[in-house]
Amino acid sequence: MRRYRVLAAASLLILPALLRGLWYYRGFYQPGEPIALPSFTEIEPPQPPLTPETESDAPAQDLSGKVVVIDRAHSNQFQLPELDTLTRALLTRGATLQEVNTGDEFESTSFGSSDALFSFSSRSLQTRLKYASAYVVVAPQSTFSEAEIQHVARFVSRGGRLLVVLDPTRGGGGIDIFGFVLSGSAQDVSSVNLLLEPHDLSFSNDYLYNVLENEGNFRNVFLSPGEPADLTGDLSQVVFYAARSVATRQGRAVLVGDDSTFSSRTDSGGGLAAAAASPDGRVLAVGDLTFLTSPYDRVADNSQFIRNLAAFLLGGDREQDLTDLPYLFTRPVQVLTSTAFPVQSETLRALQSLQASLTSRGLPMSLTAEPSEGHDLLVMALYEPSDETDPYLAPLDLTLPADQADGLLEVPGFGALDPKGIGLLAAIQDPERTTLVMLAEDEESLTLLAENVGQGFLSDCVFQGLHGLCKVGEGAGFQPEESFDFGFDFNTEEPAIEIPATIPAPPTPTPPP
Amino acid sequence: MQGQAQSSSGAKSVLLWVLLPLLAGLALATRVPRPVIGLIYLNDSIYAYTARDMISQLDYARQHPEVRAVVLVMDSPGGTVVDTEAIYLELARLRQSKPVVTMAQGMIASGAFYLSVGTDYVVAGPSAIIGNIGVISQLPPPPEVYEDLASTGPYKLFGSSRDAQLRSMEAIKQAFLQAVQLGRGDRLQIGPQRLLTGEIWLGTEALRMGLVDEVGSVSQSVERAADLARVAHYRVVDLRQLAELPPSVTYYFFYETPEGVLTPYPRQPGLYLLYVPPWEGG
Repeated sequence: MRRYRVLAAASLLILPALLRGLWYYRGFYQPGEPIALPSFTEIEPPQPPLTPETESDAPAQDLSGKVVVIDRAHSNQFQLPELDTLTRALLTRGATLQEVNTGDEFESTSFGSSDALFSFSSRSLQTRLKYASAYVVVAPQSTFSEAEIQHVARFVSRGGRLLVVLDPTRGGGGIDIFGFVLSGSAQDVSSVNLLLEPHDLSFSNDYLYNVLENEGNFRNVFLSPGEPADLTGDLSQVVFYAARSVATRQGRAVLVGDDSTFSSRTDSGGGLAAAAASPDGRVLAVGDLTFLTSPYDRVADNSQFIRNLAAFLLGGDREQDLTDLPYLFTRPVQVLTSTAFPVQSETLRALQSLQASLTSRGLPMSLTAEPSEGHDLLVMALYEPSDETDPYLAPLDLTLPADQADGLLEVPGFGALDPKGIGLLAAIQDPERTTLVMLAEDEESLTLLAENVGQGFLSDCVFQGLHGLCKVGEGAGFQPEESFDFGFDFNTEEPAIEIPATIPAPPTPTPPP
Repeated sequence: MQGQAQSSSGAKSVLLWVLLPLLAGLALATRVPRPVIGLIYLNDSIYAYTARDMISQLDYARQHPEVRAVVLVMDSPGGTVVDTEAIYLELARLRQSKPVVTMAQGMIASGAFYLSVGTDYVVAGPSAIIGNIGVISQLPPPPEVYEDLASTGPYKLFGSSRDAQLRSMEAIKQAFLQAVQLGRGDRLQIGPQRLLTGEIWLGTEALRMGLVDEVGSVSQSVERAADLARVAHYRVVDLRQLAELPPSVTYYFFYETPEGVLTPYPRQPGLYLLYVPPWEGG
């Protein structure tokens, strides 16, 4: 009996708590699988695939004399030291670097740490492209004028090399974040696409990204080499650090992303190019600037690609013709005059401007009676036979007024002309020497012609093949016997986009005994 | 007399064997607590003060048995990396003994989303903003030396190189991705390619992608927490009150322009798991 009582009491003791427990609790919480956490301690920041600098940067050949012009005239969003790796590679190969600035009427002064590498003077883009081998445009913000586009197109068509480098982080404009304005819009793209359009290249207003396989960040993309071989043959992988994509129809994709490399514009990808070359291989569009800067220049094959860029810039075979005056010469210049045109004070004044142009390129000028090897030659004479100068006129196939009954000057391509008020220019180029011939009817006209050439004042000239005719005074002018292509608009200083005939190298004239 | 004695003995017996045990039992039953579903609100970005408050409440929930489950009711763009990770790790400790449910009331972006994948179940409003997986940071300036400001190392003044900071961000992002993959497990319907874009999605989209478990309300998230904890007739209590926390401190986390306009950008440079919407002001 007592046992039952104890049992009942115990039940009554437990029952309320049990009922309350059952009222509130329907079971016990059982955590599922063990809670897995990220392996924080095992995740390490990705490290770049640095390539030790083993290959010597010694150039395969001396390319001294080649001039690379760097654009600073279009609100370019970069500092010269950022190009140090590229400029160093160019200088090592013997190139000369110049920059073209806004306001070419003013003399440039100081431009930062790389000043010593550059020679500054005040010349317009058009003038600089007359003697440049390559033109480099980096992250411009202002647009190129129609005239500039024509100058560059003509420069490229005559063998000049053009490198355009954009970077989506230097696009211009921007958004405000962390209290700072960060660039982001695409003024650079609209600026250069008109420049690149004649060369079948265009940048997209985008950036490339890869969230799966990247070099430390989604915008740092691995790129595989494409074509041409001289730019990519020795590469296996290049890394760009935020890059715009480049499109071309007939050109070649130089560096290409994989299938998971997307364009920010479409969020799709596959075979997108971050660098591309024009069909003729003379223009290269590169979508990133950062890879040129330290320490990114040492990642993967970036340094080799930079060397290849330097070789590309200096690898052109730049043709020159009379339109490049006064920058036609590449060697020290000797001036040879006929006895009928003795050098006088006015002549010296006229030659001074030409000498100044040559001096700015490091080329001395001297008068001579006996041209010697290793020099270019400037021949100045009147439209009269001359023992001193006639051997240099022979390749030009001229008929001088003295040799014609009607007293007209006959110039191939131009026909017979009244020589009054007309100066003649002719260039003869061969591997050993460049010869420029200046002829006019009288001393005054010839002096004026020399002065105009020295100043690059060629707006009163028309060029045709080997020859050019310039207005050097009042005269009857000339009436061409047949229509011919001037090569550019006679009424404007801006050359037309059409290319004048290439000057063949005639036989070297035999100097007089 | 004998009858009286028997009657008295019976009453004593009932008192001894029935009433006293019953009263004792009732008294004992009061020791069985009514279960509590604790609510932790986060209606701010995640930074030192909000993290301290949240951790205090999580700690309270872990140490008090009547709190049977926790619901994080969040409307947050995320915040600092370190504070987000600190809360995330405290959540993991709590989940070893109690279920935690996320209610995405307005926005659970970036760091707030990081927290949500560290919970057992995620309920989102249909148009709640979900996702924005990734890290942002302002990179330090390139190292320089100054004549009048001395330091003992090249990065003493700058913390790290720009490149190193970028790579640290990548490591943090990898941990974030792992947290999402481990937290969502088989429920995840999209891969890293999509996750790592940093996109934000609506609650309904996030449901299809497996980033949340249900589209619903706060009460539904509470019911789900109770289900997981297997409790009924529970109380729903703001844990801030239970933990007797002082009123939350207002801290100027976001940058305010000189004109007094509050921007969506942090005041101080650093590493952030933060959604920064486009802003045209300034």
